[in-house]
Amino acid sequence: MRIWLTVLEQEFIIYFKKWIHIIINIGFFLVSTSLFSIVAGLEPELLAQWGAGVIWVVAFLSMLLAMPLLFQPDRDDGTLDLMLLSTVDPAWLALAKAGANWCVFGLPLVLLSPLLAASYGMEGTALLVLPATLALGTPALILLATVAAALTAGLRRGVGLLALLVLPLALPVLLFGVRGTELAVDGLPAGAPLMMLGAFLFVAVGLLPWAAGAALRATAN
Amino acid sequence: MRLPNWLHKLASPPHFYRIAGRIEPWMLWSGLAAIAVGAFGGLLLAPPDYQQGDAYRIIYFHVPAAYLAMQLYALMAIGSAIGLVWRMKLAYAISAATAPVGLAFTGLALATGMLWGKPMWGAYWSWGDARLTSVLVMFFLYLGYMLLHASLEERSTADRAAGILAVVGVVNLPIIKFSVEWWSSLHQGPTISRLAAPAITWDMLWPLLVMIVGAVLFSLAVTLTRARAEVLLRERGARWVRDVVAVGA
Repeated sequence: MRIWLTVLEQEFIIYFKKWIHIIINIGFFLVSTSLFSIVAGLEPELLAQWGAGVIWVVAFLSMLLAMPLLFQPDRDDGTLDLMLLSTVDPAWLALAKAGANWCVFGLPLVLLSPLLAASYGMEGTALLVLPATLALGTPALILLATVAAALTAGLRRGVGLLALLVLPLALPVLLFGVRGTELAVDGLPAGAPLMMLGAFLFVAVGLLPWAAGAALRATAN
Repeated sequence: MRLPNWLHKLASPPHFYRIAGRIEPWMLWSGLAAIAVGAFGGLLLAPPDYQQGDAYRIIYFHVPAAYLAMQLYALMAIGSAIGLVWRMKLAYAISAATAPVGLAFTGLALATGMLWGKPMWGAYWSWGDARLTSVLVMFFLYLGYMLLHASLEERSTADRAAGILAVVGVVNLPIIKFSVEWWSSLHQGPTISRLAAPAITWDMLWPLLVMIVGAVLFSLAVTLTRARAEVLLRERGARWVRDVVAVGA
């Protein structure tokens, strides 16, 4: 547990030293969502309908930008090999890295999403449901990404492959996230998709770090 | 847990190569014969459907393809799991050999499904439909397995990495299976069920069953052929391979 916290702390220090990545991530999220609403030029009613899908997909894409940062730098400079040689269970390592990555790249999107939802003309409970779906869904996405990132970390051009591996696995999360928000936009209860997202997150926390740990071991040099 | 002894024996590559080589032609020709009989029965002998007319006949290709798409994924994942747990190299070779066959059958299931969907549902594809989406996800999982396997240079690393992906992707199988029951879907319910009486007349059913058996045999024959080639490639330094190649057996 203490080692886990040390890894987490270290991850935060590294991420905040490279703070430009965080700004780029948030900037990408804001620019892409507003770009879509400008270019599509939709009617206000349609905009709220489309908003759920657009915000969710762009959130996924901007997190995808940061996913190679999970393991690639540590693999390149050899830190990862040293960590795998130590007594730390690689599953805990993966969990710590996923946690830090989500806090830095996922959480800001969750916090910013009500603002975007309002700009997309959403009202009432939708302004709360969208961040709720993101808060439950994005950690699950990061956990899925740790598996894919661990599998592709050794590759020279692994980013494209990482996206290709994450996308099919991430689809259920995206679908339920968007469905829940759409229900809320239409003024319907969104409990069921939220619960599905929660269930998905629990299963992801319980199983995926171990898969990622095995993947780290498998692809270690 | 230890593996049973006969499995250990089968796991020796030269033994597998020999046994598979002996079984494979039988499977291939009986499978092709069954497919011919099933196609004849399904396309010509079976009566037209009272709702769907003759368009339903694509079921004789769609159901076997979809069934195999899932079964081959299960085979690939089980092979990978055996490889990961017991470090059995042959299991990895079988997994790697299965992937392209499974991808092909998934593509066939998607294509026939789309062709069937156009006259019946009025659309080739419906986004947000659970059955269609989950099968598409499986298509991408096969593709991801193959691409990951191809991009990792060292074969043992590629086997293990792609194997983990295959095992993680198994969650998708029950989703595909039950998607029609869990969510309201455009896709019709199951035609054949193990527990209930089939919702289809015998005249229509027997060609379908023959087609499924034929497709299973055919796909296993193709997989075995690929697995034999894979084993030869992987063991190319070994003496028995040199003997096999020299004799030309």
